[in-house]
Amino acid sequence: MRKVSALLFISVDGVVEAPDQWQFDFDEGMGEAMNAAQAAQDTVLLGRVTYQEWLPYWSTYTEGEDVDYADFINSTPKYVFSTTLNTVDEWKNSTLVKGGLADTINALKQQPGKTISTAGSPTLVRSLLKENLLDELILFVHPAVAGKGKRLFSDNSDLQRLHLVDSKATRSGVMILTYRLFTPADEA
Amino acid sequence: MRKVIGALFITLDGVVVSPDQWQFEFDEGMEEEMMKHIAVQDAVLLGRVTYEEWAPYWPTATDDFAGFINNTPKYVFSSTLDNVDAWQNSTLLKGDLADEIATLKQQPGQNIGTAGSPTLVRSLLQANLLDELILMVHPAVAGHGQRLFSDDGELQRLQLVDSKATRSGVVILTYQPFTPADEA
Repeated sequence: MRKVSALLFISVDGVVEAPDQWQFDFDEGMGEAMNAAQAAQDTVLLGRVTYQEWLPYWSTYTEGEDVDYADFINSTPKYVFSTTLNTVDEWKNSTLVKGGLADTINALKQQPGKTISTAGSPTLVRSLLKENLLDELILFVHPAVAGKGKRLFSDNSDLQRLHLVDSKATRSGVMILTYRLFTPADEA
Repeated sequence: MRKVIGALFITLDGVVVSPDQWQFEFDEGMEEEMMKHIAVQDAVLLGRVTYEEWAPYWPTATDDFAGFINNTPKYVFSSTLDNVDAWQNSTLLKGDLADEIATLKQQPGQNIGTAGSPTLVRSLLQANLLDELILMVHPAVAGHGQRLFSDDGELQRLQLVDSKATRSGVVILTYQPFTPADEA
């Protein structure tokens, strides 16, 4: 079955907001890992905030160094989770989802296809994680303490045991950590 | 000069208390790392809470860590304790953190390490008094509990100087403060 995957830039103190404040380098190791994740997916999940921030930027991006990503994000089917938006018609290949998160994810997973992945959308990632809907969590841990800003993890949830699948350090000191949910089979 | 090193068990969500809740294994890679640091440490910094939790336990324990922690000079930071006589080789420090650390660093010796004491590590980090921060990131989201990092601090750029993953999936990250020379 297709996987649901999330990839986020995060600081050592768990902040996921305003990465421009603590990302001082985007090195080739990060680029490679991003490209690999992107190549594996054909469906994107977005939260409302990221949708609204990204729409004006990417939908009009036609040339520049990020044109490959623009082509990808514009042409890939996007599912936007929001209870307040009335339409997502402004960005092509977008579908508004107002139903339950788990039902929607499970329905998407039944369809054939490649990996379903979030883009940005830390609040959505937090919800997916809390509801045990993530098959894979990839964190790019940046070598900085942000000091303030919105964090990925809430401070009033339950213990979740994870399994480290992969870890690598990039040239500029970003740690790329890949986790999935722990299963009893990992105990061995 | 001797280095001041903060080392902590921590979860993916930054929680540093009650490791018994989220440490499911203590594997050989973790042990090796801890032993490596203890071998070059001859002074230990403790916060009040860790001192009070550890003082009744370690003096009568007999494992390798007990031998180390009981025999090594311990500096306990507390504004409320009157004495630290309950645990051998302990000295109570009531002065300003930066001044006390500067005094210790001027003395000859090996590295100065923290033990437990997340609140103290947070203070050292915020005051830029740590030469090295070692985080042993456990593969778990604790969900709640005291975190290492405050949410009203300043941006601090770090340099990753070492990283390794242990068999049970703990990632050991060693950071130093970033200096402009790291930019090159």
